[in-house]
Amino acid sequence: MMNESASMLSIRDLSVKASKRDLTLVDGVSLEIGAGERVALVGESGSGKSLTCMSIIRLLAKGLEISGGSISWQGEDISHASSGRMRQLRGREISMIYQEPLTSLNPVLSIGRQLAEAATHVHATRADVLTMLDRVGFEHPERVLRQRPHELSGGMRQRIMIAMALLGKPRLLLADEPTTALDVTVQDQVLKLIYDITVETGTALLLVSHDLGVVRRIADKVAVMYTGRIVESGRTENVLSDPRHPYTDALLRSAPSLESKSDRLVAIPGRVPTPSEWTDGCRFAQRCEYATDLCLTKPPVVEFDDQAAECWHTDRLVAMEGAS
Amino acid sequence: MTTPVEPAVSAVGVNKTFRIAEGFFGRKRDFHAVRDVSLSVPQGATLGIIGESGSGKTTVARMLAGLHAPTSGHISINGAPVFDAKGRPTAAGRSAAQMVFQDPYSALNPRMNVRAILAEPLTVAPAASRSEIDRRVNELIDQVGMSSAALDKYPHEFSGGQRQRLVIARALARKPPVLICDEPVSALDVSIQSQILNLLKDLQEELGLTYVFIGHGLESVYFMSDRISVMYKGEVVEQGTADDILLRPAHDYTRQLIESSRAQPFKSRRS
Repeated sequence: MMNESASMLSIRDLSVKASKRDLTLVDGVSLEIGAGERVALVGESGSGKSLTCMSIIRLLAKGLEISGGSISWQGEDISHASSGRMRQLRGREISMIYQEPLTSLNPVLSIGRQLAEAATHVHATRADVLTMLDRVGFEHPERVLRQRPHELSGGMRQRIMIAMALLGKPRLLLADEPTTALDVTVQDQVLKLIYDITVETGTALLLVSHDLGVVRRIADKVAVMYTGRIVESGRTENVLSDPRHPYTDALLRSAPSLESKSDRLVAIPGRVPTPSEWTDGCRFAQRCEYATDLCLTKPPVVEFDDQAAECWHTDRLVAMEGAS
Repeated sequence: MTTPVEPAVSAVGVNKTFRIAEGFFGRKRDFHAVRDVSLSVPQGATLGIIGESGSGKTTVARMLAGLHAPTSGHISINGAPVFDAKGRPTAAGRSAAQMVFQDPYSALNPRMNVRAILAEPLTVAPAASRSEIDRRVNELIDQVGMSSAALDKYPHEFSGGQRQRLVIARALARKPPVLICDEPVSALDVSIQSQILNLLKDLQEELGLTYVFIGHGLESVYFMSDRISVMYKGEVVEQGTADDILLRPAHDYTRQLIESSRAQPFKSRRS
């Protein structure tokens, strides 16, 4: 879609399989992230958004494997790079923060011990650690070093994870639902911190989220995933205000809103098909109000300015929007 | 149906303290989870409760449903007390308000088929007859929008949304006047949540149910509720109609909640 020959990260036709059961879970995903860009992968559970993210840093669970496509990091295909090479990249060039900061930290070690471990890996100094703790919002960095994870709130623990991830000055930060486990008001503070740091340091961000509100706040570009495929992508403001795929459109219309108090929501019928039910045709067709027989065959990717949707009937959606 | 004058749900001056130990051999101390909470929900209405984790909203829910006795204060459903003087749940209290839990994956016994899951509450004294149970189970599955073919299946054969429908059906089995819904959609896929919220609204209208609806996301609570109570650190810090709370929030926490829900893109200093 967008011409970005100079992309820092370029994923082409990535597929991920559960090898034993021969089930495809990520099915031909392509994604570009330029230096300093903030990109969101949004989708429901089982859409393949987390697996796509984990494939980049090669932390797929046992039994899952990259079965096709390429992941090019600054020109080097790392989809099958050695584990030694991946260790060099992790933390220094690509870092990751996870959803649940409590399970990502060792409960019996002090924060200082854990940060020291991360610092050693990326050759950062104690001064670097203290500066970073100050940056993520700790007023007394020295004191935090002596504390253990259970003494900190969820928001503070996630700040520690962010500090740890950024110690090696990575060029790309992967964040898998980084605020989902936090209270709504704390969510926003942590999100703002991630945003500010990416702006300051020029670190690119790949945010994985199910929350369109979070995506709207932070991402320049968004890719919407459904059943292992990217069904729509483009600039965030375009996709969220003028969606071209019926799934994105339905998601946006079905969510309860603070703007008006309605009696009923426009629910999306049916349920998300499981991987064993996936077909070559459009996988949203059964739930889609625009579906026709055409949708039984593989839908084309239709491109607009700065936006693309994989759908036979993008024209119908546009016509409906115009009519209403 | 007669409309009693008293509210469907009433809580007056309710406190709850938990005795907790600091460490394994540590000193015991009291943790004040809920402080002087008073609520009143008219027949057929929905009261929303919002608050961050630790605000006491789930503790209030469990007390209203008769699962925790309050340390002090009075709770009644349709005028009948939920607990006796010794803090034991009364017979009326046990059946008056039913809970719909957050996680439909852990709320259903995986070894029971749907028919047995829905019939179980009906076998508690005063038990219904076999034919009555059979009729009621079919009625319940229909009310939550599923086919009777589902009755012979097991929980793992259903998606999260369908499981939540089963949890709701089970809660309705003994025809309680009140449902306490504790974050009933937050574990579900985004595209399924609106189905379940619509179902809850339909059931409310059809059966004249009264709801207490708890959430941490403002949008679904605003959609469901006539009135909203905001809880913060164990206390109700603000209550009013849903629109009052949204348009004229008085408490800082409420304001923050509304602001973060009305997500505007963060501003970049570069552009």
